[in-house]
Order: sequence, then structure tokens, then C-alpha cells
Amino acid sequence: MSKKRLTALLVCIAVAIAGLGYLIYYYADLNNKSKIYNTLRQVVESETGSRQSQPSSGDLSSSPFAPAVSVDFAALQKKNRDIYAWIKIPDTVVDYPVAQSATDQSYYLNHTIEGKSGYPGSIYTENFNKKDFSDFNTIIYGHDMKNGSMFGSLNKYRDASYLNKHREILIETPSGERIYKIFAAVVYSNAYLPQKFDFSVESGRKAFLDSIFDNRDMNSQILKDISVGTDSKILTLSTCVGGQPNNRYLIEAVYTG
Amino acid sequence: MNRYKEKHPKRIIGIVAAVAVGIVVICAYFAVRAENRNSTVQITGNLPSGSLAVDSEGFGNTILYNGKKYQYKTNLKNILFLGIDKGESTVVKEIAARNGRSDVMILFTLDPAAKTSRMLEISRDTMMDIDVYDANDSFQFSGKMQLTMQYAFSSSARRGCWLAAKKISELLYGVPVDATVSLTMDGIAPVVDALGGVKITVPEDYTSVSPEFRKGAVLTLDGKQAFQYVHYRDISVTGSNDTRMERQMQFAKAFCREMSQKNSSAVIQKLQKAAKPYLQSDLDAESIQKLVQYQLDDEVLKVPGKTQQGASHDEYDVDDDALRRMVVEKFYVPVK
Repeated sequence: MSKKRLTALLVCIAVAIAGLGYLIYYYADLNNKSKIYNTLRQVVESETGSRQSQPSSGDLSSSPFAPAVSVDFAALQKKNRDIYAWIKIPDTVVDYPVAQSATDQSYYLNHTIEGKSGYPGSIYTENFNKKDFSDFNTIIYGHDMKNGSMFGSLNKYRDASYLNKHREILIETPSGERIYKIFAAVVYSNAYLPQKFDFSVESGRKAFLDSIFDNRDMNSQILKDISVGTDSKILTLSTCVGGQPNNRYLIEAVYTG
Repeated sequence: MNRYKEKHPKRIIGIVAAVAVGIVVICAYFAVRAENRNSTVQITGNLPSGSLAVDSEGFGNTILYNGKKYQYKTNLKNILFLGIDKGESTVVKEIAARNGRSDVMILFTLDPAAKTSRMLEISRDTMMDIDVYDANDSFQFSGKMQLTMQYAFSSSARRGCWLAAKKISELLYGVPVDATVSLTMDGIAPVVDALGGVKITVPEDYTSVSPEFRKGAVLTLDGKQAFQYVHYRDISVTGSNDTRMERQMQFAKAFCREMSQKNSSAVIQKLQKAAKPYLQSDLDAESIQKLVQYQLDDEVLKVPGKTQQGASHDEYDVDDDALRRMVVEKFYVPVK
């Protein structure tokens, strides 16, 4: 074998091994960084007794007393003081701490809850939202992960039958539990909502609601069986749509008690 | 012998190298993809969350309906027909509704696989958010109005067609309108006469429209009669457009059949010539051929809903769930 050929062959093999190594590293790293969320869930579970026994049905009428999942925020905040709420959609994988950085709006877009850089990031809000959920529209962001974690399962809401079975969103805060009911799941433009709409005035709030209710798309669902107005307290779950960089997928829910 | 021996290891090296290159290419592809996912998380000014593209599968071209994945039948061709009543011009909040109304709206769907065509009728009274444009075609506001009004807020037939098609696509949850043909009402008589009349059987008693329209009468309508048949209605009666639409759909069906029977390039040319002064169309010759040749479905689809008496005129309220079901059934196929 000529020396040249041998060198070429060795280079090829080296690059192949490096490429394969990177792939393995990428997915192992992603897996590793995702573990923190299981750990935190266990923290929450062990400190509140069995969460599984809590009624998790989406039917509010059958559980007049809200399922109190008293999250130990003191324990969570020991791990990261930016954690200020916990979001759970019963019977789905959405079961995560919610964080807000006081200084860097996009920090948790690209950092896990324990501060590791990269995917899957965190479930988070920006600091234009108050941490007590008293705003008209509290916008919670999360990645649309291919493996379904974070907000990767929200795209199932494109199906009306799924939506009807998973309409309740629970938000735990240090001051108690808040229950929201989903009224829309829409394919939306990628407009930055707090910039596009002035939520501080009624006309801005109305314009936002109109833009949701006017949405007609086979992948959008609107339910008009619950009253939503400019005085409501709304939760927006915002995630992206792969292959559609100009669109985002929004879940809209209204505070019910 | 020596030469043969030499060849052999060379071949092996060649194969190993080829496999190695293959692996490099595959790895490079995945590595770049994984890298892209990370690098697309970019921060642009104060738009942190609007600009992220992620480790996301996306919707592809699929929708989810009752737990199943569906895909739009991309081979369909949807042709919107608009019958324009130039009639009187009205004013909405100081903006003139000036270009006439689309009183007849039929979406023809050509299915090249089955070589069939199908009609979907859309009520002029369908209540939607209509986009209002001023005399310079610049957008002013949107408001709940009858769908027939969308065409009116335009300054040309071409633009009116585009506005109506856009709105109807929105009504149908994004079903695309591939071409639009509009004809003003005064074009009906010359076109029907050019075809040599249209034969119909009067299905109900329509003597209120004209004495010869008795139930069961078999008539070959000439241009003037055809115009009466599709245009007349008593606006003092709630739902008068519904019975008129029945006549319009029946007439449209009969017209298409007549055209298919007389299918010759001479007739088509004669029709086109007669229609020209009243016509706006971006339909290609091939689709015209298909419209004439394909078998027209007997079943006429209708946007589900019901007519109610509004403050000043009839309003047609669409049953969104039923419409969505119809769109899935008629325009989508399950994905395996």
C-alpha cells in the first residue's frame, strides 16, 4: 500500500471516529442535562408525600377541592433561587419548575435549571412578568424537544380530542395553587408578544385576544365554552414549531381559581 | 500472478476507504444537524424567544384529528367561481363597498387521480371578519360582515378575486384556492346563449320567480331565463338566499353537464368569447379541459351552518366543528 493511500485512509477513519464520538457525546450530554428534572421531581415528591395519589383528573367538577400539590419551594430554591413556581399538566409529561432570571431574559432559554449550558434549557418566564401571576398574560417558554420533554408534548394539542382530555394546567407558587383552563391552542406568528401588544391597556388586551380567537388553521383549536375577557388572567405556553421558523405554537389558558 | 496479488489488497483498501468516507458523510450530516440546533438558538435584540428554532420535530405537513395524522391531498386543484353582482354600492364606516358583491361562491375541486370534480357551495351570508380597504386599496380595519362583502372592498376584478379567495381559504382552515374565475351577473345571459341554453328540471315550485318555473317542468333555459333563475330572490323573506342558492347550485351542475356534453373546442371558444367582457380568470387551459372532461360528483358539498335573521339582513353562522370534519374528510388523507 502506498504511503499516501494509507494516510488518506487513516484520516478518514479518524474523522469518522471523531464524528461518531461527537454524536454520542451530544446525546449523552443532552440526556445527562435532562436528569436534573427527574431529580427535582423526586425532591418534590419525597417532600410532599406521594404526588401520584393526588387527583389528576382534568375534570374540575369532580374535585371541588383543588388538588393541593404543596411544592417545597424552600428546598427547590436551595438548588436554584430563580425557581419561583412549578407547572404541571395532569396526565402529561409537563411537570417542571418555572424559573425567571432577574437580569438575563434569555438565560434559561439556553441553560438548564442547574445552570448547564445548552439543551434542553428550562421552563421559564421573562422578567416583564410578575412572579405572582397577577399579570393579564403570563408567558411561559419551553423548548419543543423532539423526545417530548419540556414543551415537546404540547403539539398534541393540535388534536381537539386530546385538548378536551387535557384542559387543566396547575401552577404551584409559594402562596398556593392556581388552576387554569385551556381555551385555545394555536399556530401563531413568531411576533414577540409583549412588544406587539400593550397588555397594560384594555385595547391591547382585546387585540391580543382577538388575534387568538380569529385564528383559523387545521392545527389550531379554539374552545369558546369558557369566558375569557380583557380582565381575565391568562397563561400563555409558548414553544416553537420545527420547520416553521416564522411560527410559534401557543397554548392559551385562563385562570379559574 | 504478481499483478493479481497486487490488485487484491488494493481493492480491499478501496472498499474500506469507501465505507470510511460513507461514515464520515453520515456523521458529518448528524453533527452539523445537531450543531445547527444549538447554533440557531440565537438572541436578536430584545426578541429572545421569537427567534429560536429548536430540537423540534415540527408538524411536517400533517394535522391531528381524532388521534390520527392526516395530510393535505396536494394533487387536488381548487378553482373558485365567483358570480359578481355589480348592483348598488354601499358605504361601511365611510369606506365605499364599491366593486360589487360575490353573490355566488362555488369552490370546484378537481381530483386528477379519480378524474372527478366536485362542488362546494359557500353562502354569501357567511359571517366572517372582512378586511376593509379604501379606494387606494390600503387596509383600514376588519369587521364582522357577510362574506359577499369582501370582494366589494377592491378596485379591480383581479384584486377582488384575490381578496375573496384569501378569505375563503381562511374560512376553509387553509384549504388553498389555486385559481379564481369571476363572472359578473350580466355575463350569464350571453354565456348561456352561447352554449345554446341549459336544460333543467324545475325541482320546486318557483312560479314566484317566473310563471313557467312550475315544479317538474323540463325547460331549456335561454340566457334571459337563466339569469332570472339564478338571480331572483325576495329579500323580505328570511333565508331567501338559501332557496336561491339551491337553484344556483342546480343550475351550475346543469351548466357543467351541458358543457361536458357539448365538449368541443369550438363551443369552448365560443363560450370564452361571449364571457370575455364579464370575466376575470387566472385559470389555465389545462384546468379548463379537466373541468369539462372530469365526471362531476352528484353530491354537492355545503359549508355547514345555519341562517339566522340579523339586525339588517340574513346571517349564515358556520358550524366550525362540522366544517373542520368535512375539510378533513374531503381534502385530507390519513398518513400511514
